[in-house]
Amino acid sequence: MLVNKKVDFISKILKNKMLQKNLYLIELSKPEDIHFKSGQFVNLRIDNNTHDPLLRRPFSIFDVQKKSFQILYQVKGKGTSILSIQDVGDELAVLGPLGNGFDMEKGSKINFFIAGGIGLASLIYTAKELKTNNEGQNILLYGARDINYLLKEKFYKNIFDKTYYALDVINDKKLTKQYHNGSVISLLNNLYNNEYSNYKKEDFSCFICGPDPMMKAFIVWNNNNELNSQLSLESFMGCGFKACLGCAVKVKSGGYKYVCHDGPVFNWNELEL
Amino acid sequence: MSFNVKKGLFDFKNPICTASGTFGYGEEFDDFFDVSSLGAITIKGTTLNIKDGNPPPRIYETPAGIMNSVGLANIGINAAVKKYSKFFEKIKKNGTKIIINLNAGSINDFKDIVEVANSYDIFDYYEINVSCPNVKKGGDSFSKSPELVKELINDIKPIANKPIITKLSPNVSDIKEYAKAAIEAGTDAISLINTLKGLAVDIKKRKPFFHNKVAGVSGPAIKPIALYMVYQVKELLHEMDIDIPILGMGGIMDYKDALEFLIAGADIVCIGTANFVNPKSSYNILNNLQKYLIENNLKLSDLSF
Repeated sequence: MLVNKKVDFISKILKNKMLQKNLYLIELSKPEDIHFKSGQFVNLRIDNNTHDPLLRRPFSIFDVQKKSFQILYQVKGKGTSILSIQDVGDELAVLGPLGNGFDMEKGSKINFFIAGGIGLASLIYTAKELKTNNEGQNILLYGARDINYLLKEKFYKNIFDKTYYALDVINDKKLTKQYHNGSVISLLNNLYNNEYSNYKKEDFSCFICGPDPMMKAFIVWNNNNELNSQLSLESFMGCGFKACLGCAVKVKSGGYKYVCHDGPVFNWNELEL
Repeated sequence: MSFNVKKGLFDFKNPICTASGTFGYGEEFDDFFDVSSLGAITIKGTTLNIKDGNPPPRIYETPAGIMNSVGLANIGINAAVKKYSKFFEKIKKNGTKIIINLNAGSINDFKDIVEVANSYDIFDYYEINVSCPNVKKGGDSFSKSPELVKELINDIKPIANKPIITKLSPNVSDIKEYAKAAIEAGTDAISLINTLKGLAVDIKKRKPFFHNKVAGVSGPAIKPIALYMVYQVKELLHEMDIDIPILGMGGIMDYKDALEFLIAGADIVCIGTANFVNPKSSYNILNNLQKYLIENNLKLSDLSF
């Protein structure tokens, strides 16, 4: 396995724009010799000159070019709100690459990318990378609170062979044909038992990223279905390199593992969420 | 120009150290800078046996500070030596000292871990944590009264084969009483401050954020409190006419903060929360402090009162 040295580097903001309400895309410069594996993340200093916010914020990689990379983020709290008003040309400290990333050897005939909200961010780069060495179909199952929280498809065109949506709330009844009303896990259950029922269990791989309740629901579902699945977790984090031990996650083998160091990607059956 | 700190049983090549629980075992920072440039490192709070620590969440951000409820998660003293001794040896070759922060729930347990620590040459100093506020049955009880601190240090000092540093809790009414108790019991140095007790509240769930309710506050937000306590202990040392080192810490983010601690009475400064924000913090502080002293034609000993 490629062991990538963690680097703390100063990055220039090349782009920072609102794609749609609450969803932003920031492009940051990087040295050419820093390589990101899909599913890895960076810890970003939101503002180099303030103690509030104090800690860096972890973000997964949305896309990578030779000399730059992109992060898709949702404005949720103080940190992301300050990030959203940083100007092109400003410099931010970036720590990365951090974490293990997805095991790309595990692609199958049907690759389900299951995203909850902003969890989509890490799956897009992963799907792109998987396409380079896997012949299977990449199917996106994308869930969000309501239609306003879905990233518009034009921002990730041609990456997935098919996309299904799940919305918690649908106000416009005309949309119920196109959008599943319910959780993304209930959508998964429908697809697995109907559209994709001709495939064997071994034909599936799942790449999942979303909020904790969705992860928990997936694990419960997969206890019965046992699909080969990798989960990318979100966590509060102090440092990003296992010094603060803040991002503990309980594992079945006993004790805790750390999202920043042992993850953020875990096999579904090792977690005790 | 001399940058070393020689006082009592302590001999550091420079006054920059790291605070326990913020620097792992040191090796975590190896990717970022040459750890052996530092005067000393304090490795994370260690117990005799492995400790899983508290269930998540463990960390929370507050304006200019963080709160933690890690619960002394560590792999145990023997496993730590086995896993990290190569790294420790590497940095020791360059003159960096290793301080191990020791934790136990009773005087007898403290004696046990000191005996085990005694069997390893790799450690240069023992820091006795009488103040960790995170473990229900842990060090906290020793900070309930100066008498308990005195009793503990009294019992540990004769059996320790390395100099001991007593790490004081700021969660007391009079820090001088506690420092005095430790000094009278024969401590070789005082380090302060540990984290302050605080509560984070989750308004969405309408309950405390941490399972244990209480968590330790650190970072720039606590710096004035730490400075005052360091100052008070320095005053006490003058009053008692005793010259042992003070390891000062609490919210040091840059070399100016480090200077403030040195002026307030610290001989050595420990970098804590800043390590999370910028892993090269201690290295930057070392270089910038050195530069400041050279530019102003000052010696370290000129700083303190």
